[in-house]
Amino acid sequence: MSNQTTVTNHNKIQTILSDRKKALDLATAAVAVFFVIILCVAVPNFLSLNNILNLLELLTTVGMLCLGMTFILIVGGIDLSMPAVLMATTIPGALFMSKTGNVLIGILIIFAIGAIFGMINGVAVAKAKMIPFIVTLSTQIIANGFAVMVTNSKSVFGLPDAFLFLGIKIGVVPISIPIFFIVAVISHIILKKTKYGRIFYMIGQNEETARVSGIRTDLYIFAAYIMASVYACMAGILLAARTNMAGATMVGNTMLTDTISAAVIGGASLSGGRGNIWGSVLGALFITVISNFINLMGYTYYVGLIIKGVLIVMIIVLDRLRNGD
Amino acid sequence: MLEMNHITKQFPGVLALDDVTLKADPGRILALIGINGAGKSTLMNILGGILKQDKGDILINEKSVSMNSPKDAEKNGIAFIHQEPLFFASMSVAQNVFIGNMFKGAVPILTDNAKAEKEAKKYLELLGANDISPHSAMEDITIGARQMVEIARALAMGANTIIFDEPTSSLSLHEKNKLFEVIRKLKHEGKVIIYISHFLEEITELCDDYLVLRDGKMSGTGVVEGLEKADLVTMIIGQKPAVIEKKTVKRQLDEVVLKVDRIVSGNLLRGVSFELKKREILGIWGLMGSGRTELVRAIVGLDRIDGGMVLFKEEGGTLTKIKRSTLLRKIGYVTESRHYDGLFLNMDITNNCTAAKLDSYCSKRLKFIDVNKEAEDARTLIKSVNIKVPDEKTRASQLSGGNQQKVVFAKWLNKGAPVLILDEPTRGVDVGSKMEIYKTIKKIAAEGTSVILVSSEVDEMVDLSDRVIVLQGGRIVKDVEGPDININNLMELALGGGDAHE
Repeated sequence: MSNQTTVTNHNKIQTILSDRKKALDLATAAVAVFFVIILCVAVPNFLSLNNILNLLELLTTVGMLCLGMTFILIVGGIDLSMPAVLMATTIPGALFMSKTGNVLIGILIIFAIGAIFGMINGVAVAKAKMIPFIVTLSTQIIANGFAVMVTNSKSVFGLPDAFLFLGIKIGVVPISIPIFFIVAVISHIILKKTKYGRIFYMIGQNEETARVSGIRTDLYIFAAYIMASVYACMAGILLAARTNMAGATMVGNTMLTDTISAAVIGGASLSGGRGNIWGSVLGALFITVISNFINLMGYTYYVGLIIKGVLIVMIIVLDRLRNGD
Repeated sequence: MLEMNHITKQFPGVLALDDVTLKADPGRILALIGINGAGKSTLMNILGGILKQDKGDILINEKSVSMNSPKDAEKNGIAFIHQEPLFFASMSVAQNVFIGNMFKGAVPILTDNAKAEKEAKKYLELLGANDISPHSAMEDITIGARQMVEIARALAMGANTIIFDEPTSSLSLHEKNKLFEVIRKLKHEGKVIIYISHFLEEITELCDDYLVLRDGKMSGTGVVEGLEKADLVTMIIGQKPAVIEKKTVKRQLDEVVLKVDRIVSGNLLRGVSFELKKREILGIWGLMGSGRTELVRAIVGLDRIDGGMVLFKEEGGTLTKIKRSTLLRKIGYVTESRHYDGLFLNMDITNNCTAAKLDSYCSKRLKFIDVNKEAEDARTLIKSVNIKVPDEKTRASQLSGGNQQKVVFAKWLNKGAPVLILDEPTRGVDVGSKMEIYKTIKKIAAEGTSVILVSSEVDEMVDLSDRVIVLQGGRIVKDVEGPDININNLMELALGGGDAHE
């Protein structure tokens, strides 16, 4: 009898909990719908095909960075150097390509420099046990300096046609959009279906337990930082191909906060062990839409920053309420 | 005069204190004695205002006082000197002495450090600790000196009752003697002193009165002078039959699977060597601070070692020296604290169970995980170790302590490691789960797993072990087998004497 009461109580608690969760899910959806309605009313051509494609194309840069950031956050780290690495790798590669016209080696240069930055971060965090925030902040400064030094603060133009292929449109669809989504699908598979993804989550959840379970945690943390740099390289390549330009201004000041915000909106946690690819893609989409909205409404840059900040905080608060932590 | 009369405290499922009366007179040192779990800490936590007694009252100088918070205890002049001194590492000695009530400076939000240092000097001199500079940072002085600072803090607070909780466990012999001098000095000043210790030698050397607790009850009290050591041991561990029948199954124990050779680590382990045989349950026994956990952590490569090596024999191989970072991939280790490094609390039971042998669930080339096989194995394990859960998708954080511990066991059973190290395998586990865990341990040993068991529970040691090595101060002092593994013998060996830390 008493056993049954506890069971009913348990069910009741479950119902209440799931009701609360449902209500919050609904609230989040409502906010999103409300936001889209505002956009549609306020911005006449928001839902036009052109604008949507434009949005998705913009999404590829912050989205690609956000995919890499998701891996890093899941493993319990952070990489502040990603946008800087994007520039520090793409600029020398682009410079080489514009001088020689050799696309293959140009791209190899990009990934090679990316790997070096990833290794610096990875060794410092995984082996020397330094704090990721400090390490990647330093790499960010180094990468920024390197980028400006290489170009003498001039931008690189006139990239070879074979490279610009990555920036063309098939019909009306920019080729970078399907490329981004293919990379996202592969990332999702790595994270959710393979041993490597599982171990990333395990390390982020509890590094000590992972180590006791016989996992070489340092190796995986190292790998995550390399991956982050590789994603930064891919983002840089797509961006340079789309704009036919590479220079120290190719990503804005807000790119880093946009990337981290997108991942956190998508469910990643700065304390590790949480996050997923589709959440991050949606988060990146959200950030892109806000930026686009601010542009289309013609707000000044500074007003735009305020609007963006407030919206990000709102979404994160809702999300944390929903996940109960 | 401090009196705690007829204190009773009930915890869920266990009567922690049952009608305990403690009387401590000023100018005398009262020894509070008992093994881990006897109720010493509960009694002291009640005195310190951390716990509230269910029954009984506390009298100070014949006036009833109620302790609702640590602040109340402080107001009543009660101070604790902890086993590991509590302090703010980067702050100065003087600031630590006056941590609760800094001297105000000329401007209200500033503190007057010069005055604090002058005052702290006074208290330190009172203790005969002239060599400690009030200006030094706490992190730069020795452990013994930190303890002096803690005592100075107690005096600065105006404490009349000072409780020393196993204060010598990390001190050198010289520091210990100095501490005893200070305690005697405080005694002559008429303070009420309660001294908690395992070590019989220390008690006979220092204390005037004693109170022994066992299983939450008073098992003896009186004057130390003229007390026989044997009688004290009996009070501590109770009258148990001298020899408990050891298991009748005599296993074939000759193949050595793990050999630890003269391991030196940190400032605790000083050359420990032993061999673990196949199918053996080897107990590592010793009091807290004897180096039990440190030893296993050093063996598996989680702590740095400064000397010695570990040899391991793989299935069908020979005993070879092993790189320490790789040992954890071959053996199992149930750690002391399942929340800290035993479980992935926010992952489900399946993921926890398969964490130590993920590779066997992966496809060959792309390493895709076969989640169906994982879930199937998890369900089998849930049944075989009897984890009480709705299904294998339940998160580990939602389980009770006993069931969580079973999940940790399930992880290693699943791996099928040839050697399993257990550090406090039943800590914080209910009695039912405990029995099931014992059954599991005996079963896997019978099936060929070699087990190293570290435990502070003597019953567990006696019940499970085939052989026991006794640690004291980071050294093996005794290796006992067969009928010698009994409660009296183990307790005596562990309590043996305070001479282990010179």
